[in-house]
Order: sequence, then C-alpha cells, then structure tokens
Amino acid sequence: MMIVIWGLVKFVALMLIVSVYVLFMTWFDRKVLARMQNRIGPQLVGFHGLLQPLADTIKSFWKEDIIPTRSYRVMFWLAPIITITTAFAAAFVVPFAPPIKTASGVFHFSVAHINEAMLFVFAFLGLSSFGVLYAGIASGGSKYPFIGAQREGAQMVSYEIILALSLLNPILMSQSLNFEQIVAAQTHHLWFVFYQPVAFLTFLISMFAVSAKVPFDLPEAESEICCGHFVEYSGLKMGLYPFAQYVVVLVMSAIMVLAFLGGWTGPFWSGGFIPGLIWYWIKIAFFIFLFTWAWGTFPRYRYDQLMDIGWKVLLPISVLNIFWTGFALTAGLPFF
Amino acid sequence: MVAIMFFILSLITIGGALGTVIARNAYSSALWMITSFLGVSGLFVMLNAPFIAMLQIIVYAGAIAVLILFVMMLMDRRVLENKDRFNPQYLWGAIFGAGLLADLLALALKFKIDISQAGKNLTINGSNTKMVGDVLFKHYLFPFEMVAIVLLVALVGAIVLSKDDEKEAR
Repeated sequence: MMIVIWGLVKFVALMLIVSVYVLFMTWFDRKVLARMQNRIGPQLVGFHGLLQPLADTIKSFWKEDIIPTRSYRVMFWLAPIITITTAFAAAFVVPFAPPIKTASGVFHFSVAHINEAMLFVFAFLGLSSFGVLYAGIASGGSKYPFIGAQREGAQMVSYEIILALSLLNPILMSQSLNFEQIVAAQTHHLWFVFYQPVAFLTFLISMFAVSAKVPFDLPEAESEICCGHFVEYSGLKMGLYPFAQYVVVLVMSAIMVLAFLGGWTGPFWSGGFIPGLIWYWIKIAFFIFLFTWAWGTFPRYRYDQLMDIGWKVLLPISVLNIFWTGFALTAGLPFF
Repeated sequence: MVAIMFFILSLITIGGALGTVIARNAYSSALWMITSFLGVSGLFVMLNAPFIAMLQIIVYAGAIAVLILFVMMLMDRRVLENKDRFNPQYLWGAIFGAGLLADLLALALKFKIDISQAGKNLTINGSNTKMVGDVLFKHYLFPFEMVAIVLLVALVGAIVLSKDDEKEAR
C-alpha cells in the first residue's frame, strides 16, 4: 500500500513541477530570443514579465474553441490528449534527483523506478508522435496539418532509430537499462562523453529532431506550413502541443545528462563541495538552454536534407560506433 | 487488486481488438489497434516481463502502427472513407474465429482454469532482460542470425520490387 501512496504523491509532484517548469520555460524562451534579437521581450506583467506566462494561460482559457466542421470530432479531441499524456508518461521514469538512502531502503525520485527505464522512455516518446499524426488526420483534409503530420511521422521513425543506436553505447558500457545504474557506472569511470564522443554528437543531433525543435522543426515550420499539425487547433487544445514539446525537451535533456554527462556526479576536479542535485540541474538547464539557443541562431533544414543527414550520415556512423564499442569492450581496451 | 488490474487490461486488449475490426473509419481502427497493443504490453508487465512489454510498445505501437498510419496518409482520404467495413470474405474469417474461440473454451473447461488465480504472477521473479540476452545470443545465436538474414532479404526484395527501372520509365 505504501508504494501506491508514494507513487501517487510523486505523480502529483511531477505533474505540478513539470507544469510550472513549462510555464516559465515559455517566459525564458521569449526572454532569451528577445535578447538574441536585440529586443526586450515580455516586460510589463510582473517583475521583468515573470507573470506573463500566467496571464497567457488565463487568456487561453477564455479563447473560443473552434472545431472544423469536416474534422473527425473524437480524434480531434483525442490528439492533443495523446500528445500530452505520452510526453508526461516518458517523464515518469526519469529520476529528478539522486536517490537517497533511508533506513528502510533507497528512496528514488522517479515516479516509477523500473529496470527498463531507458526502453520505457523510448516507447512513450515513440507513441507521442501519434498525437501529431492524428492531429493531421483529424483536421479533416486540411492541407497544412496533413503535411505537418506526415513530416512528423517520417522524422520520428527515422530519428528514433539513431537516438536508440547512440544510447546503445552507454547501455553497453554500463550493462544496464536503469538510469541510476548508468550514472553509477560513470562514477567508476569517467563520464561516458569522454569514451563516446561520436555517440554524444549523434544523440545531440537526433535529440533536436525527435523533439522537433529548431534546426529540425519541420512538422511545424511556421514560415512554410504555418505551424503544421496544429493549424486547425485553437485555445487550450492548441496550447497542449507546445506544452508537450517542452516536456519532451526536459526529458531529452535529462536523458542526455544521465547517459553521457554523469548525471548527478560533479566533474572529477569539483571534489564534492556542491551537492549532486545542483550539478544535475545545472547540466539539465544547460541543455534546455541549448534548445533555445539553437532556436535563436539556426536556420531550418530542408526536408530532404533532414532525411539525408539521418539515413546517410548519422545511421552509418552510429552503427560503426556500436561495432567499435563492442570491439573495445570485448578486447578490454584501457579505460573501457 | 491484481485480478482487477488483469481484468482491466484484458478488457483494453479485447476491446481494442474488437474496435480494430468493427470501426467504420480506417484511422480510428488504427487507434484501436494501438490501444490493443498497449493492453498486451500491460499484460506482459503483469507477467513480470517488462523487457518484452517495452519492446511490444516500441516495435508494434511505435514503429509498425506509425508505418500503417503513414501508408494510410499517403492514400486518398475519400477512398478510405468510402470503403466497406468488411470485405467479401468475412464469413470465412468469422467461422475460423468462432472455431478458435470454441477450441479455447474447450481447453479452459478441460483444464478447469481457476478464475480466482487471474493475474497472479506465476513466473520467475526478477529482471529478465539479461536472461533474454543470454538465451538469444548464447543458445539460439544461429537461428537469430538466420532470422536477421531473412529480414535483410525481404528488405532488399522490397526495394528491388518497388524501385522503378529508370531506363524503362523514361
């Protein structure tokens, strides 16, 4: 019974923390983008516009909810729900703080502490593309959502493979699918980024593609298909898509830090003055900032370029890298 | 508790499968199919096989269902909407399904399946990911490699069949 109660408590905590994070991410994104473009950004509501996201949320509650007459109604309702649910589900197994040893055992800061955590994240990130695909279908033959949804489908299928292949290297080196054990393996070694620079880079690139952020934001490319899959959505339902995207960004940054950058362990020279929790969130915050940074500075790739990068460059490189890792581990090369 | 979970999951699985067959719209049919896959993976979790459960979602719901949906998106929407719900061979399918159901019921009656044991985990405890790897790559390495080659042949064959011969086309 205790495990159920603790699960519920963690579940509610996760929902609250992630929702607040998403609220203030919109503020952060706008501020950083404004700074990059020599503007001020939100300034009027609250201190430096900090209450702007709250005002936006309240406003979006009162917006008229328009459903196109030719749409499939049930699917039109379900599509944003699927997107947000699967994005949150992916966040369930991500630890949000280092585990604490208590008298009765180890306390884990993830909603569900399972051994196959890595696979769980893959599974639900893969499912999150359905929300987008169904948004395109349910919009009732509207052209832009349809194009956006097709792009999302193709992009997700191709880049999930590269994501999985590049994460296979840390999995092979730590011989575990559990995030906490992967981090533990990195305390014995150096961080995996020093052994696996190639996997780190392929993961970095496919991270942007899977979360459909700027260099690869083809499903919603504002300037060509004017927001793609959620053109027909309005009000709160429309807001759920960027919401889910921010959650995916958080999950991807956390996986990146856990798998390649040693999770809550500080660099070897830090000597343990700063607690692990703070190291962990500094690193995650850096990658979240990286997404915004890329948004402000990168142009969008063309669709054929996206597919070429994925299938002709990243896929062969990651497969060769796995062969190299396997060889290095079996041959017992130094430092492996 | 466990039994309730089991019945909920089986309801999701069977309901999803039923919805796949009788949904009028091909797109919602695909959504029902994904629901059914999720139910099956939940059943695997109850059997203490989380690895296979996750693979079920990744491979079937994540990859195959996306491909099916993708193919449907490339087809004309009006053609898909005006399709009949069943094709003319549905009678044979119904007979076969009824036979299978009768068979399973007969087996259940013969072995006196105890409903009160529903959902109880009767397998070995603990993580089976390592076990699956050991069995697959130590004992059954040769069949595994054969399956990989068969899949590769199918892949190459599909490309050869679907590729236009450029000289003939133009």
